[in-house]
Amino acid sequence: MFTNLWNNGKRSLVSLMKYLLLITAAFMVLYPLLGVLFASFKTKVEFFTTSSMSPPVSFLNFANIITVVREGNILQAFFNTGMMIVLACVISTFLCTMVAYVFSRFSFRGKATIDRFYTIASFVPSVIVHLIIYRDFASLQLTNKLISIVILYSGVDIISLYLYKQYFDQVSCSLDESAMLEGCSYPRIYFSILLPAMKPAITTACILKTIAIYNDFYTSSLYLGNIRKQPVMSTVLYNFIGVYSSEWNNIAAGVLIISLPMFLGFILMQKYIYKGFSDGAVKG
Amino acid sequence: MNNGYTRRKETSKRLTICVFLFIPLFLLVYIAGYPVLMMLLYSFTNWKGTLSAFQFVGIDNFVRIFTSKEYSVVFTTAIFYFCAGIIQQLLSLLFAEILSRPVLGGRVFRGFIFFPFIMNGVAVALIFRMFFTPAGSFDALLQATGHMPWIRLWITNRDTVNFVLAFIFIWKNLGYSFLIYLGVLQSVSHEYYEAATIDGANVWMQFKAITFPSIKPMIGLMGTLTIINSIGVYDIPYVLTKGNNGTHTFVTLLTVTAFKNNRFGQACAMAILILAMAMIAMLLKSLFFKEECDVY
Repeated sequence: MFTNLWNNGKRSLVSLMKYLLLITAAFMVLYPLLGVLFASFKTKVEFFTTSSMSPPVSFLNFANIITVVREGNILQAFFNTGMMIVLACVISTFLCTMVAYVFSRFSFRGKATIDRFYTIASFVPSVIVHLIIYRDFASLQLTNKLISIVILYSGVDIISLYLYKQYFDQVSCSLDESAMLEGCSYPRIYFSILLPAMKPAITTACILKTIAIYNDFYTSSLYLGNIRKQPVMSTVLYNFIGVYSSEWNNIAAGVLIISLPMFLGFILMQKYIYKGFSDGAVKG
Repeated sequence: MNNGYTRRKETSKRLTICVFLFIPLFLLVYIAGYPVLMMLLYSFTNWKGTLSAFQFVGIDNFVRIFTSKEYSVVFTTAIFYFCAGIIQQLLSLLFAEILSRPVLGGRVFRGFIFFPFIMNGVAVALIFRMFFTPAGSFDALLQATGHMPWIRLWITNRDTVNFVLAFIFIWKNLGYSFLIYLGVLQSVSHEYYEAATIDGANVWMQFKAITFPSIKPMIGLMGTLTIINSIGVYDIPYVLTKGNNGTHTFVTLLTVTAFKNNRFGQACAMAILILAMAMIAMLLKSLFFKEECDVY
């Protein structure tokens, strides 16, 4: 009986530790965010006179948000970022699925070589290639145009390629063959039979791409450095540091605005986002 | 007639392959192949990024990275981020282990731990600039818990800033490795754990006998990512400190060298070094973890 009691006690201790750890983690994540949330609703005077952890006088003080949206060109930035995401997703979906289709359905000379090139290319950290590409884009007058980022994000990345290849392999070839006998051409089979069957994989790949582009700062600041021409979310927010050098209440409002779409998207599509990152990691 | 049909099919197949692969292969060569070859060439020159001529300078650029004081800082910060990466792996494993079993509010906790990973890097840097600023939220926390003497200028102090950056690195990236481990652990049948509990195995024994073998193949991938990520840090140090106070990473310094100082040859040498390290990490992974993956 004593061992029973001892075991029960030990089990509840372990379970207590568990919750303690989880609550600590949640606190560590939330606490820094809370300060920013509070600050974005404070007036400038209020920000400097109150503790950063005291809630604002009113959560209805939208002055900072209005200032930032109006002066920061946030709406234009949001539209531009959305535009880049849509274009890059559409183009890269077609390109990636086309490569995956060819790889999955045909055998031809040089297939193994191309496959190996894709694997080797995935080793190349994307941050370094811009040393060369940026010069080219500049001489082609592509910098400070949204298309520059779209091109850079439209290439076939190994994760999407792998996801699609896996999916194509699951769809039975007999479907293709019967369509062939009906007189369907290869492109027709790809466009009207296989592409619609790929929907789940396309969703996954596009979610990953959307998050990558929305959060991208390195390439955006390099290629779209002049925020007066084509502002996007990251560069606009970065620019606030200079504009509102000490008006942290405004910067906090900017942080809030840029984080909000991602937060809402996360709440709504949690399941798909988790699935996207898990599936993407399988190949790495 | 049958022959003609087969030939037509063959032609159509060839045409489809060519058309479907043309643009993707062009982009592959243009975005990955061509830059790497050019960088390899330029890394041995003093190219200034303009159309003007350049001279070959041998391995000077590479020697400078390893000997000059300007560059030694990037190795220090890489070690900081690498250590942070290891702590991140351990923490994410711990939380994945806890949340892989039914826990009250598990979905909410999972969301909290994961969300920072998909936050904008600039936003995260600004959040922590406010967090660690004098009299900011962190100082308020220290004050509330009675650790007043610990308060200092966290970001502008050379001794603390890299710890601050390593902390932010973990804060932001923990969610990813956590999610991956969680996925693997959830695929392990609960029956193993139940059987082990009945046989009297404690938590540690269960971890050693059930959890660890199931994540072993993932550790190789995660280790590789840790190494590559510790070199590739950019957003947060760039926004937070602009690389001042000994916080330059490989990528921030490379960017400054190339786009501010116009020393493209030197920057190309750094890029080649980054590429070499990434390649070595990948090779090590495939050497050490190949067998386990096949068995698994």
